[in-house]
Amino acid sequence: MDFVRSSKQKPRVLLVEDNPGDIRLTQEALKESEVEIVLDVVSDGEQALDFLMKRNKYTDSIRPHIILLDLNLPKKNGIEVLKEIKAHDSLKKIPVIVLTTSDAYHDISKAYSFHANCYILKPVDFDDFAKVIRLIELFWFNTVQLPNE
Amino acid sequence: MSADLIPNKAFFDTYNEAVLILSDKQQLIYINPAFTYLTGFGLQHPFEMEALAELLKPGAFEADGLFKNRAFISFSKKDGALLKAKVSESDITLADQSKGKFYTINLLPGLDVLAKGEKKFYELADASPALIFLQDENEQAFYFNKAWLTYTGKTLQQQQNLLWKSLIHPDDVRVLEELAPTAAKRKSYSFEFRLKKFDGAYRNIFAISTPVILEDGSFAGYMSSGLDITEVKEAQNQISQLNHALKQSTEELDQFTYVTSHDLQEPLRMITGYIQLIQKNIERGNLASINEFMAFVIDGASRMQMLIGDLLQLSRVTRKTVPFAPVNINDIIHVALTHVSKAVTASKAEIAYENLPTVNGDTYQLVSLFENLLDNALKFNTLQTVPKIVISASEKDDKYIFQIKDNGIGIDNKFHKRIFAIFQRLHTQAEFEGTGIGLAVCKKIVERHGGEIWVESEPGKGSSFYFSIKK
Repeated sequence: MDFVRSSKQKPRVLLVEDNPGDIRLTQEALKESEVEIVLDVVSDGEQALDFLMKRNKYTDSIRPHIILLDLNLPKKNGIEVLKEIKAHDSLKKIPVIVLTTSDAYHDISKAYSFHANCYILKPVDFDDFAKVIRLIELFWFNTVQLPNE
Repeated sequence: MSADLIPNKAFFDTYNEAVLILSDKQQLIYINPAFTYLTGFGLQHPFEMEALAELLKPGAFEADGLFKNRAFISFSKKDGALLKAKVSESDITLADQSKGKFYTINLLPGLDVLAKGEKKFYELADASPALIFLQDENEQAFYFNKAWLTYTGKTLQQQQNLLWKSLIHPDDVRVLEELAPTAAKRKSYSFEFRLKKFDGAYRNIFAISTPVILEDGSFAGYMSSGLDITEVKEAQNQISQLNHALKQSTEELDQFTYVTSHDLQEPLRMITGYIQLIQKNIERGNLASINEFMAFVIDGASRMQMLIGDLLQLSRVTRKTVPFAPVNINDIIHVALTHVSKAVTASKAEIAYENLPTVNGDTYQLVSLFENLLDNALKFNTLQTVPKIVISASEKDDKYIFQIKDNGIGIDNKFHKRIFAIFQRLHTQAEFEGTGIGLAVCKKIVERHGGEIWVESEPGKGSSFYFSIKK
């Protein structure tokens, strides 16, 4: 894997998701991938920002290569989290993949206007879900060049 | 006797312009036959001295800026018809050498023409339901039709000149002043103002003013005609209020459909996803995680059930079916407590309330309201503390304010508004189970009862939920 060779570190994903079922499904889907991906999970918007900014209980957190962000979150919702990430000098370089059940026009439009890197609907079917996770992996870790920082 | 004071009386007797003479004591001492012909009044008739004195009072002539000794007046003839005339004032030395005033009265040339159609006009105007008045070229009102006088409960004399403006709502006097430039251009204009009706109530009048242009092209003033549009306006307001409510409810419905479909999809996705995963694992002979996956299916199904139940509750609140009746809040809480008895027993919670008032409301909805608030007060607690809940009420103006105070985990200030919106949650399912509908239901119920709901709270210091209800 190009990414692994060049960076000599495992690809890291931060999953911002409050639904334990979705967290587990994502873990299952990642199991089927060829490389080992380190998955960190936070379950609300405030935790996500704490994690990224190494605040409170996350002082030892490791910066992820990409972020999978759900929109419907307790406390701070996904759009607010996205806004803060993209307003942050350093964090804004981390690709944010919005992964949500909402196909509402205003959610999609809002996410892109706050500079989401892409917007993906969570498929209902598990096979489709696993496929989406694989595609994310293939694209973001095997196709694109990420800022190495 | 007084006639002896008039010098050249024979001349005035035959003079073809109306003449009247006042003594130095402002007493009417002479009227010539032309005046009697014009007005119907003679010296021997009970003359409207007061009205005349009003018309010819000192200062009336200074009011006319153009000619110091000339004024334009309007007055009623003996038969009630109105006359507009130009009056010239001169000094006259009477036979006893005292100084008197001498007046000649000319019908305005243009108005003479108007006068021909005048009778017909006044008949029509008086038969009209519209409020009609006439102003001369100096903005002095000289005629008000019957409808106006009946409407205001005033006499013509009480309305003439600028007196009518005292019936206009003080805030609307400005409206008329702003129209002055338009009036100066002698164009038609329309305006709205509030006029005090005879019963003392201000009503909305819509009026149109059109300039009166005489045959010779000269401008003679304005004719204004108004209608009471209060009811139309009220209906309009009602329509726009209804429109606003409709728009709001459509927006709420949109929001509701959006979040409902989203939040109902989540558990459905869980059920579908995990059943497929289970199937896959069984096919592969991998049974290790089956129980764990089954738990997600069951959890998804029960969450869905909870959501549907809560949504049903919300929709019941939205459809107001039962008329309000007096309900005692002590009884309401008693019933609500039976609905949350499991949680009360399990947490050994202490709940205190007494002497709560009776309000006008929907019993079912008020039980729902207290049930939801009690449910939250019991739920959002650390396992270490015994929940203590105190319900009390106070009076403020025309409202009762209820307080539900707990010793729970509290809520950060920045979430105090958001918690009342549908599906907004501050915690994950793992921390506290729920659908995010409860407080949205509470808000709906309180609003249906004409009140407001709010929270005062700090993390770690418990919460006090307040709501008001009209007495």
